[in-house]
Amino acid sequence: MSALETVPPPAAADGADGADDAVLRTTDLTVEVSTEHGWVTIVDGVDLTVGRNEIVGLVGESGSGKTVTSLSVMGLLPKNARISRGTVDVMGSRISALKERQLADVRGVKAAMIFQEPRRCLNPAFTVGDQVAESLRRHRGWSRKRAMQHTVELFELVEIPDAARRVRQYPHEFSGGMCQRVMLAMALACDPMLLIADEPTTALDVTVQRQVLELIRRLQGELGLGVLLITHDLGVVAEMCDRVAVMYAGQVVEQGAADALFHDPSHPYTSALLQSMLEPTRRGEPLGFIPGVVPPPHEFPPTCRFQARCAHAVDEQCRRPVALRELSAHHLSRCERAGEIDLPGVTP
Amino acid sequence: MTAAPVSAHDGDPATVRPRRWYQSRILRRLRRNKAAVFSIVVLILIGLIAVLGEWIAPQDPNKVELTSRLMGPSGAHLLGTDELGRDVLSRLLVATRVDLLASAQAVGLALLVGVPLGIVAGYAGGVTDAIVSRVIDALMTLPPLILAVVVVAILGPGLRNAMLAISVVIIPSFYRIVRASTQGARSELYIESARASGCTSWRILWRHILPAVAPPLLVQASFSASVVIVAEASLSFLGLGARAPQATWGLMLNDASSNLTTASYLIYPPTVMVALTILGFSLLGDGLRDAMGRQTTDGGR
Amino acid sequence: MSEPTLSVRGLTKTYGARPTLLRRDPHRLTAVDEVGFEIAPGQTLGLVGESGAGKSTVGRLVLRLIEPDAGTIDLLGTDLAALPRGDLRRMRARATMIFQDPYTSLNPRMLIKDAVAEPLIMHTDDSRRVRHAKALDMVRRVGLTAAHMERYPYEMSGGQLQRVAIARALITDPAFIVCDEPVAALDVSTQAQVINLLNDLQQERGISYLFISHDLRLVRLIADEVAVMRRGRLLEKGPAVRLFDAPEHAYTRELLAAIPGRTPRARRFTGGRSEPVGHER
Repeated sequence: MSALETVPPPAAADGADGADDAVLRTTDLTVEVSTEHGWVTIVDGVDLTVGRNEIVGLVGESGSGKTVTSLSVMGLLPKNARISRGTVDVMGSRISALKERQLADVRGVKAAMIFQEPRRCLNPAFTVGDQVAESLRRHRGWSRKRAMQHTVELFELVEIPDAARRVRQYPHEFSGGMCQRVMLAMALACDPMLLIADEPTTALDVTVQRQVLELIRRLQGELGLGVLLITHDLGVVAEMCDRVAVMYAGQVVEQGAADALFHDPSHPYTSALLQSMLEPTRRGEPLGFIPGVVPPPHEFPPTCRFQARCAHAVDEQCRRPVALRELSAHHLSRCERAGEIDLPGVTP
Repeated sequence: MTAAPVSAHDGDPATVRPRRWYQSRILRRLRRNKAAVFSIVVLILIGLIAVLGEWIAPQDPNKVELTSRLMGPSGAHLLGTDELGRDVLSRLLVATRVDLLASAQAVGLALLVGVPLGIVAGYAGGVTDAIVSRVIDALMTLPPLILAVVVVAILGPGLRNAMLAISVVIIPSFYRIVRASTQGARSELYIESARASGCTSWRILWRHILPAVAPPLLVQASFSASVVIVAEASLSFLGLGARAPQATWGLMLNDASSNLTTASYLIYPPTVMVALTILGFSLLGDGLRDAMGRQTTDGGR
Repeated sequence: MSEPTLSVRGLTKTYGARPTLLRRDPHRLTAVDEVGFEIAPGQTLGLVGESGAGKSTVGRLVLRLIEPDAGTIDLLGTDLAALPRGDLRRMRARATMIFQDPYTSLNPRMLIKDAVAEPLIMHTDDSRRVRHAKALDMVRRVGLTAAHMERYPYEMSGGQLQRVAIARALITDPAFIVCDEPVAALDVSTQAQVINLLNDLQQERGISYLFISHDLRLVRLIADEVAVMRRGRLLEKGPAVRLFDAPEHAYTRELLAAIPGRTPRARRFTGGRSEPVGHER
C-alpha cells in the first residue's frame, strides 16, 4: 500500500490547524471477513480523516465496504471479521489495539454512532429516558436522578418537544424521526467528539429526513463535532458534507472537497454515480447508470477494481493495481487516467 | 455468493446446461460438515444391512439350536448365541430391516397426517386453525406409554400396532412445525406476488408453501426417526411391540436382560446398533438444520 | 382519448374491530378514504406520499389483493369489485403488480426460469417447451441472458432480480401494472436501469402504470400525472409538469422542498432551530 499522507481537512482551517486536529484517523485500514472462500479482504487500505467541526461523507453502492469501515472505527466488527492491517485512531485512542472491555469506555465517550433503523436500536421494554440515562450512569457514574435531569436537557437539545414528559414514554410511542432524535440524544449523552451516522435518514420520509439532517448539521456546528456520514444518497451528501470519500469494492477511489468532487470528478466511478443521481430532469430522457454490479469480495480483481464496469478503461493502463494519488491539493483519485479523460460532473 | 459478477457483458449462449439436483447449495454445505457426512455414511451402511440382511446373515436367524445355548462369541458364532442357541449376528442383521421399516412406517404415517393438517391450519388460520390445534393439543396430553398400552389392548399386540401408537404420539411435533412455518411463509411477499400473478390457492400451497416448510420438516423427521427407534426398543422390551420369534433390537435387548448375569455379551450388539442409528439420524438432523439455515457465512457488507 | 385503463371512485378501506352489539362504534382506522382517479392507456400515474399515507394499500385495492370496503374499481372495462373469485384470478393476467423488494418478492427456492414462466401455467395451456421459450424471450427482453434462467434469486443482484420481477409481470402481456416502490431497495447506480426499462416497455407495449413511490425525484422521471396522498386522502392531483412547477397544496410544496439538492453547499439550512413539527409524533 502506498504510504500516502493523510490529508488535513480543509474545513479544519477555521478550527485548529493541521492533522493533529483529527478526531478520526484511519491509516491503511484493512478488514477481512471469514467466508466460505476463506479470509477475504473487504476493506482495503482505507486512509480516512475526520477533523473537528467537519462533516465527511462516505459514499458507495452496497457492497462497497462503507458500513464495514464505519463499524471497524467503532470496534463493532462482527465476530467473523477482523482488522488485518492498519490502524484506527479516535481522538488519540488507538481503537484497533483495544480490548473489548477498553472499547466500551471509548464508545459513547469519544465516538458514538447512529444507525439506519433507530427503532431497532431501542429496547421496547424500557422508557426512552431510561435508555439514554443508562449510558450517563455507566460512563459518568451519575445517580439516577441526575442522569434523568440531564436526559431531559439532551431531549431538548435534539428538539424533542415536551421533553420532560416524553422521557417517560416507550419507543413505540415515537415516530421514526423521533426515534432517530432519541438515538442522537443517546449518542451525544457523554459529549463525544466523533459522530458516525450510518444512513441515518434512509428509512425516514423526505420531510422528516430534512428535519433530522438539519438537526445533525446544527448540532455539529454548535458542538464542534466531527461527523462521518455514510450514505448512498448523493443529494444528502451535496447538502451536508464538507469533504467526501467515494468507496468502490473496498477501496477509496476518490476523495476531496465536496464542491470539487461534484463539479469536477476525477474518477469515472464518481462521475457515473453523479450521472445516475436522480435529478428532476424531463420525463422520457433516459437516466445514466452503471452496467453490472460490484463484484463480491472474493472476486475483487488484481487490476483497477472498477475496470470491468468503466466506460473509460484502456487495456494496458488499467490492467494493474492503481494507487490513490494526489491530483491537486487534498484531491485524491485512484484512476490511472485521471487528468487525461474528461469526466462530467454536476453543474450548479 | 457463487455467482460470477454478471452484467450485460455476458455472452448469451443459446442453451444453458440445466442445473442438477446435486448442485444444490444445501448439499454443498452438507458435504462440508464432517459430522453430517459421517452420519450419512453410517446411515447408508445401516441401510445396506437392512436391505441385504437376509442374504449376508451367516445362519438362519430363527434356527433354534438348544445344544449351543448362550455361547460366547466364537469362530462359529461371531457374536455368540442367545438362550435358544440362535446366532446373534444373524438376528442382529435381520432385525435391522424390521426396525428401519417400522420407524419409516411410524414417521411416514405421522407425516401423512401432520403435514396436511399443519399446512391447512397455518394457511387458513381462523376457526379451522383453532379447531385443529385444540385436537392436536389434546393428543399431546396423552402419555405415550399408556397410549401404546391402550392401542395394543384394543388392536392386539404386534409391531405394527405399537408403531401406530408411536405415530400418534409424534404427529403433534410435525403438525406444530408445519403450522408455524406455514404461518411464516404465508406472510412472505412472494406469496402475495404469486397471488398477484393469478396463482390458485392449490398452486400456492403446493409450489410455494410446501417447499418452504420442507427444510424444518426434514430435520424434524430425522430426529423423530431416532425417537421411534428408541420407542420400538422400549415397547418391544416391555412386551408391547414385536413378538417372538421375530427379531428386533428391542426384543434382543429383552432377551439379553433376562440373561444379564450369565451372558452379558448379549446386551452389546443391539445396544450398539440402536445407539449408532440414533446417532446417525440425530447428526443428520443437526447437519440438515445447519445446511438449510439462513446463509450466515457469506461475506458482509 | 379512449376509455381509461383504470377508473377508481370512492375507494375506501378501514381497519379495526367490526361493530358489535356491545360496541356499535369501535375505533377504526381509515387507511384509504374516498380515493378516486383514472389512468389512461399507456399513461403513468405517480402516487406519492410518506409512509403510512396509504399508497401501498391503494395499489393492492385496485387489484383487489385486499378487499375494499367501498368504492368502484373499473379495470379494463370490468367492474372489479363485483368479479367472482375465478374471474378475478384470470383477470390477473391483464393486471398485475411489481413489488418493492425483489429479494423477498421472488420465491428463494424457485429457479428464475420457473418464476418467470409461472404465470403462463396459470393463464395459458402452453406446453412446458413453449413456456420456457417465452420465458427466455422475456428474460432477454429485460436485459438478462439465458444463463440467468438457471439461477436462484440468491445468486443475483437486486437490480437483476427486479428485472426478473418485471419479466414475470410482463409475460402474460398485461395492460396495467401496479409498481409499488419498484426501485426503493436498489442502489442509485441501478435504479436508473430499472426506471429506463419500465419506460421503454411502456412505449413498446402501451402499458399503464400506477407508480407508487415516496421519492418525488423518481415520480417526476416516469409519471404523466401525479397524485399526492396523505393519511389516506388524495390531496392533489394533476399533470406532472404542473404539479412539480406549481404545486397547489401546501403539503406538496413541503414535500418538494424537502428533496435533497444536488449541488454542494447550496444548503438551505439556517442553522437555527426548526419549528416543532405538527404531524410528527
